[in-house]
Amino acid sequence: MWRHYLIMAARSLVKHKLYGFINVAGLSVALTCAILIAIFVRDQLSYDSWLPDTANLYRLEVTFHIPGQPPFPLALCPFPVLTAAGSQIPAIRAVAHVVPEPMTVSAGGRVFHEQVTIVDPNFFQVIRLPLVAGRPAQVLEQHDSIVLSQTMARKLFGGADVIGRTLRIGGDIWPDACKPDDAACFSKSHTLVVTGVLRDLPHNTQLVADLVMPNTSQADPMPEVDKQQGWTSGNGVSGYVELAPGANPRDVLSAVARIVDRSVDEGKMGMGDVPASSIDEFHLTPFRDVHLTSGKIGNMRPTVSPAWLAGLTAIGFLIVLVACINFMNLTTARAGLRAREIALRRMAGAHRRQLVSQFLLEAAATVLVSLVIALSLLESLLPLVDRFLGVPLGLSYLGDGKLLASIVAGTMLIGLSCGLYPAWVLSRLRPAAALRTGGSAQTGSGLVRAALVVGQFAVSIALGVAVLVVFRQIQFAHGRDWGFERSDMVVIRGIENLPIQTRESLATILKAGPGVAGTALSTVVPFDTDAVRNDVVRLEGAAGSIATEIIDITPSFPSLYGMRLLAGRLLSKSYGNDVSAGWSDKNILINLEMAHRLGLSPQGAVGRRIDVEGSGMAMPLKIVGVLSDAMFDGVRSEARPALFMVDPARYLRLSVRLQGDRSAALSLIDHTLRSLPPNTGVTRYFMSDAFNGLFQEDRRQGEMFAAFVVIAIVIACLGLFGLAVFTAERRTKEIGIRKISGARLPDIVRLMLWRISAPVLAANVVAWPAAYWYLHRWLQGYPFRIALGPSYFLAAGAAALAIAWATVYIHTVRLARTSPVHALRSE
Amino acid sequence: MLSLKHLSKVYRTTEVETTALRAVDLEIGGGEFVAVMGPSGCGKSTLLNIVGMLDSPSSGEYWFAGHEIAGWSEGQLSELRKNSVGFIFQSFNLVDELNVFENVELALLYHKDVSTRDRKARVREALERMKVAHRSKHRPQQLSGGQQQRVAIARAVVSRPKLLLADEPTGNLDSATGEEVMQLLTELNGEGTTIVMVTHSRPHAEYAHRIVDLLDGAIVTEKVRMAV
Repeated sequence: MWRHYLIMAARSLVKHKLYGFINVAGLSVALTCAILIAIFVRDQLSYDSWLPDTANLYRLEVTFHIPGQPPFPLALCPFPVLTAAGSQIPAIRAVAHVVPEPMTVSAGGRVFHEQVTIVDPNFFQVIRLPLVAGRPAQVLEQHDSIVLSQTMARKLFGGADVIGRTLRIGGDIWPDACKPDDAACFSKSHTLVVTGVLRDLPHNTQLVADLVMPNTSQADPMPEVDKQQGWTSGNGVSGYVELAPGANPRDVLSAVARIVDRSVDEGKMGMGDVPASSIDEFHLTPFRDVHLTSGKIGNMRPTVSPAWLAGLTAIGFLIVLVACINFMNLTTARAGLRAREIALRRMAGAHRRQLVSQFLLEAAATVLVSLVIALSLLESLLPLVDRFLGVPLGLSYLGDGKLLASIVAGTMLIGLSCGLYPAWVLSRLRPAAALRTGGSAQTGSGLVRAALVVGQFAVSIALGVAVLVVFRQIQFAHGRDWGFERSDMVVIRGIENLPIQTRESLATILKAGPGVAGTALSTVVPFDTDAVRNDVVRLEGAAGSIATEIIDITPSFPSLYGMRLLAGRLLSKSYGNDVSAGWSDKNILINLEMAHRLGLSPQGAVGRRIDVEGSGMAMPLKIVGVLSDAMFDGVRSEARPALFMVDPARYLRLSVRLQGDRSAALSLIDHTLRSLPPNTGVTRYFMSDAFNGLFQEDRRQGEMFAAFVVIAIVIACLGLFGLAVFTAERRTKEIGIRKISGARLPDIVRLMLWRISAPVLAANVVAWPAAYWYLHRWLQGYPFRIALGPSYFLAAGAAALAIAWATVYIHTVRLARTSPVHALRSE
Repeated sequence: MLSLKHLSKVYRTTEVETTALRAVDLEIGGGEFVAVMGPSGCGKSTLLNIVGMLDSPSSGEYWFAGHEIAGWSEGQLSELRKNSVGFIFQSFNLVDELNVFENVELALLYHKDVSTRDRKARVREALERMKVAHRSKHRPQQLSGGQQQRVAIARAVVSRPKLLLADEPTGNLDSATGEEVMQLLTELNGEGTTIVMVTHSRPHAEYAHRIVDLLDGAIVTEKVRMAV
């Protein structure tokens, strides 16, 4: 009997090629998307789950609540807070400081610039990364030890047998760590002995660990004072804590708050008389969830937003839903054509449940065929997707039985859900009625089918609105006025490893070169602002204080970056107090936002004095100019108060603007950098690359989203086309009668177009509120965002209508042109 | 074999009420060959559908093989139908997607007590008997009307029903082929199968033992041609 059903299913698929194609093509593409999304989401959820014993492991993170500013969430933890928590809170078994630093590594006469992970000696006992050589408790015991990954061992030494080999490490000089003219201090490096080899980490981890050395080492660049007293600075420290089994994270956080309250005097920081824990708020994020956090600054590797994963999953479901609706609609619409077969089966004694199982089997067979096609599509697509995502997703059927089983089970579930409604409708046909009407009984509720079509269009329209808004927002953020010029700008980093004199002379040499418009030194440059200092200032004679960023620059910086001067003058070497070494009575620039916060107009601010309170000493600074706001932080930031001053000891970046002969300028830069000592690790990059990098993830998500949405819409249109063809066929007689009664071609086309327009218009009513609700929330994540005007909704609705019309139009015209005699004979 | 007592059938829609059968009393004995005649819309097909348990009466009694079945469930009727009733239609009602063999096989598919081997044997036997065995692998569209009706008859008799219901079996056939079909039906009746046939053709009705004339849902005359 099953064989019989299968024959029936196969022949019917072959006989009705168009409908078979629509069903199978729609389901295949939908399944491909769904599986792709499933393995991507699974990969994202798999981060760090491969590590043993992480159930009680957390990352301790601080969020700064500076009065008058939005919360500033870090993925980091001030060094002394973690140290104190580890020694004072009994519920904490162990802590591990993890600090990735860009350093220079020399081995066998070659120099490499690598990320070195600087950790507590107990690191491998807290986070149990797999060692292929060495014991977790011992590898970092010695001050001069270092652990390499297998890949790094091959890269540095050409082989895996590296225990006992030595390398030298240096660079990453912190501000104030060396005296300005102490050249030996800047070029210092330290010998380390390889004590262990780490198995290469898979891609799905939050950690960076190619070179791991203990923070007891002489080579650790972080000054002791920051480790002891940097209570309110993230300083790039990821803080991991292992709780005792059964310990309550909330109790631990209250204990951390008590430590912070005892140790930090926010009054001294100018925040007023408030407990420090109200400003420095701490969180514990479970180790395995770290990858799924978003909006925190200072993660070792990029994280993913759970909202994005949820959105992607929802799109996967919607695509499958759209394909299922096609299947249900086409199957029930055409049920009439099968009425005779169904009636005969009933007369032959088939029970209803036998018919139901037959139709379910047909649905299952269709989705299984689709699955086979989907899997082969997937095979050819995966390499492209891997390249697009930059993540090896991989799908090995044999090695991953669980995945394959869930794909097959999921597919069967989809088949059953697709088949259930048609099976119910078909099996309900009354045999006498079916046979009386000569095998074309009206079947299935037209209302249900109409509702399904409306639902399908609603999904397409809502997704269409979302695509329009997402792309417009990305474009908007990309093209917004950043308050500075970023084109033709080359940034040189790593100059902190050079003596201060060398930094200045480098700027001078390059400025004189061909194709160079100008140079400027600074602590931070746009899109690279991790090193920015935050402090609190008070207008002389005023009561309240405000938090501000302090950016150290050479006088040429504002004009080099094309920042607009709103009032006063720029800094200049010709004014002694502009460039004096001390802070007292120093001339500074502020930005417009700071003037606003101080309650001053740009003109009114010039000549006023402010005190920097963070140090506890009143140091009056004089405002000589006000700049327009510049958005240095990137996409999601608002303008923050900023103060610009000259402080040669703190420059970390050298900006070079090109003009004219670019290649001459670049070869001069490269030549000059090569002439520096090799272990300094000074490199250059284009600011435009950094800028594009900011949007890469947004754009990638946008493109992925758009691709899936287009697919959903195409599948929906396929179904619509099938339904239109079917409806028109069924209406051949009606059209014939209308023509005999005098209807012209345009009348008939108009009639058919109106019939398809009604569900599209109804779909807008469903789609618009849903899309508005989601997108309104999504846009809240962007401080600079587009207004959610009606145009997006109207455009998506109009596009849906146009697509629906185009789908139906051609077929209708052809049908309406047939002779009415032929049309009437068709029944 | 079967008896209808005061049986009526009313079709209701929201606006109109149509009486298709009006207090029909009819008794058909085992082995009888009954022809039902009447103008279009007189209720012939409704009568046949009710007799064939494809439709249920609005009122009255329907006794089949000693059981009053008017209130039976769809499942019970389905069981009774598949073991006792075979159908032949004017438009043959063969399934386009199935070949001749499979179309006939369909009638036995839901008989759990018939093994696959038996089923195949019985289908072959029925096809041979109807002289269409050589077209087993063909699809219905590839056959002539007469051949299609033979296949339909093969399907109707393959389950060895006691009652064969024929709804204008010769309506779509030319006269020679129509005669052949009537011969076949007579043969089947001769072997003991009860036949109820709806027809417009007086000559074909003459093959029956008894002719029932319907008008506006009621039996107007019953003419017995010969004793069973």
